[in-house]
Amino acid sequence: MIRILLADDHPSTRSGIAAWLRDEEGLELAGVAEDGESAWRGVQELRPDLALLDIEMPNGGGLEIASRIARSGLPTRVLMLTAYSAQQYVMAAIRAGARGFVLKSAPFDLLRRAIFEASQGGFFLDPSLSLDAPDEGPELTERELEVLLLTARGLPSSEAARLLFITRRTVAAHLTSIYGKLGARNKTEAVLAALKRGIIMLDQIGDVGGDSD
Amino acid sequence: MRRRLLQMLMAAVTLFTVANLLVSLHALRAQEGAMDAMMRSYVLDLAENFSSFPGPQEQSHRGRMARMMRFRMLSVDPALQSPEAGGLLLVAGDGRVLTGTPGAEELLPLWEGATPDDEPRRVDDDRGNSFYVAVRAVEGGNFILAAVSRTRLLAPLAGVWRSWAWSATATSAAVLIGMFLLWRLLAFPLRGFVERLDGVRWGREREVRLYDGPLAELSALSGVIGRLAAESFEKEELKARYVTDLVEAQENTRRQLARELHDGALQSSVAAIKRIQLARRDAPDASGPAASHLATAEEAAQSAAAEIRDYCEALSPSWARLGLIGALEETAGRLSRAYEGVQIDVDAAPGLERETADFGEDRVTALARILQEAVSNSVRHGGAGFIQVELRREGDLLWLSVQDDGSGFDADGLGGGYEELRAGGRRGLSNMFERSRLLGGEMRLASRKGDGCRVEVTVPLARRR
Repeated sequence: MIRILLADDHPSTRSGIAAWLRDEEGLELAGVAEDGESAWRGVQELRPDLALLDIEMPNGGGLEIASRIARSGLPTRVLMLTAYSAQQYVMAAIRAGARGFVLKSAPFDLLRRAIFEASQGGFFLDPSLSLDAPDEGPELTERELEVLLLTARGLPSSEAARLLFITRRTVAAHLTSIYGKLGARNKTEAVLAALKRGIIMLDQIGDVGGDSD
Repeated sequence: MRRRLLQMLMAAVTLFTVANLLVSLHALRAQEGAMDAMMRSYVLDLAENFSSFPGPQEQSHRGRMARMMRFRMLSVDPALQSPEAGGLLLVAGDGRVLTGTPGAEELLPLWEGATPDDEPRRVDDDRGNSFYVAVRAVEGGNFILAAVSRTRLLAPLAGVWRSWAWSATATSAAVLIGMFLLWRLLAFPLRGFVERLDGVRWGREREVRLYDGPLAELSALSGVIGRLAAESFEKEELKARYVTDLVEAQENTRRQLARELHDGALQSSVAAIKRIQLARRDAPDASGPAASHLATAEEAAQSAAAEIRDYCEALSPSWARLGLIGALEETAGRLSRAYEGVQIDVDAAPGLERETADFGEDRVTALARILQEAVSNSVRHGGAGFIQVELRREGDLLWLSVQDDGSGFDADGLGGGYEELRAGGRRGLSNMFERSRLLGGEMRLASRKGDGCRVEVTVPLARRR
């Protein structure tokens, strides 16, 4: 049984998902919250395995609550639920410690997969986020991996170049090669594709305890 | 030609004045020479005339009488009526005065031992008079001394000449000084005035002072232009503020609309989707007509949700709420998806995220639109394949640079103002300039043909007002 806390400020969406969670096999609805504060209280009191957080809520959005959970050291894993489809929200969610990102309108079996993936410590990204990177591809070199990791942590190319003792041009060239191998078109897509493929792990990039707020 | 009319007029006047001065000086010298020659010839004439007179050498009574008559006749000559004007003396070899015109004995010291064959000399006596003196020998070992006062005879004429020359010189000098002053005070400042007037950026400079000198007319003109500039500045300020308010109001409306759509219509359709999904799950007959209706209903609701989401994004990008860097990265990401094969790297200086935390959604949106326009220009006009976006803090300014590897263009030929750009059909660039200015910032464009293009925008980190 995966115990889940659901936080969404919109009543009918909340009740719809809650109804599904109650009935779904292997899942248990531990509690519901209608804003950020009550979600945070719920997580502390109920200690659910997973928190399904809406990104946009009054009194503390999902990103804020996710990073609070990550900093508190509670075992609760976070899955972001949102009506927004911007890739930067995904990056922000990942940096806040979320294990996945699902659109609210997604079919229930997709949500189910996401819940299982996230609660097992994996990473799940809604396929409709216009990220059409292939699941397989050529491997990254060690140098490329280093560049990708630094980039994933949000460091600018100049900083990555300084840390790796290479020029910015070289960093840019590595990025081009990384994009090609991962089927990505920019840094965000490269990081997301690498996460999806398991080339890099979430705990390698989250800036938990860093300067996220 | 017409550009230099004033200078040419002044040069012509100066040239003629100098020529006049030279001619006057030359005429004065020539006149002095002529008068000198005339006096010498006159005094020589007198002496020779007398020495060749027949009989003066005779010691007879008749001879003496004739000589006396001759002297008397000569003394009618106005030049010989008084010793101050001149005179004739018959002097014996031992220096004794034999006879002479009235009072001419006084003139004896002027001889000063000149030999009779000498040219006439000019001698000054101790009273400050100047004489021309000629000495000629006559028979019997006697001498004739003729003296004519230059001072008395020529003074009026010389005076006229000299005063003419002085007045000519003084006039020339006055004209030259006048020309110099005219140049220093008018022509030169006027040229600077015109140059600075040409460089005035109307509406951009609050205080314009073109002239700071003694000429009241130029001061007045400068004052009028200063007032015009101030007015134009204020008008431009007012317009900018008005446009800012307008844009702000518009963006606010859009944002509000997007939020209402998002919180209302979008959430409702999402709720509907969830219910339809539940209904489909619970439908007894998965292949019956009810299930098919539900599938169609979900499809419709899904597309409604997607459409509303697109409207929201178009009205006001939700990701502007992610802060400046997130928003610019999202913009770059979307652009790299829109322009296949173009790599856009966004590099923000470490710590900038925190420093721009309260930048404001409206300003984030404006910068994102500038980036969008810059990238679109780079790709469409420059054919760029790689675009480097950089962000850092410079003092209390945010510095945003968009550098591409495209073909570039001649940025110098563009002209500065965005009005000209707009007039020239470069709407994209003009919009970027305008947005930068509405943010209280500036935009610079650096590009050369074949050398890529760089757009630099600096915006105050703190909101103005």
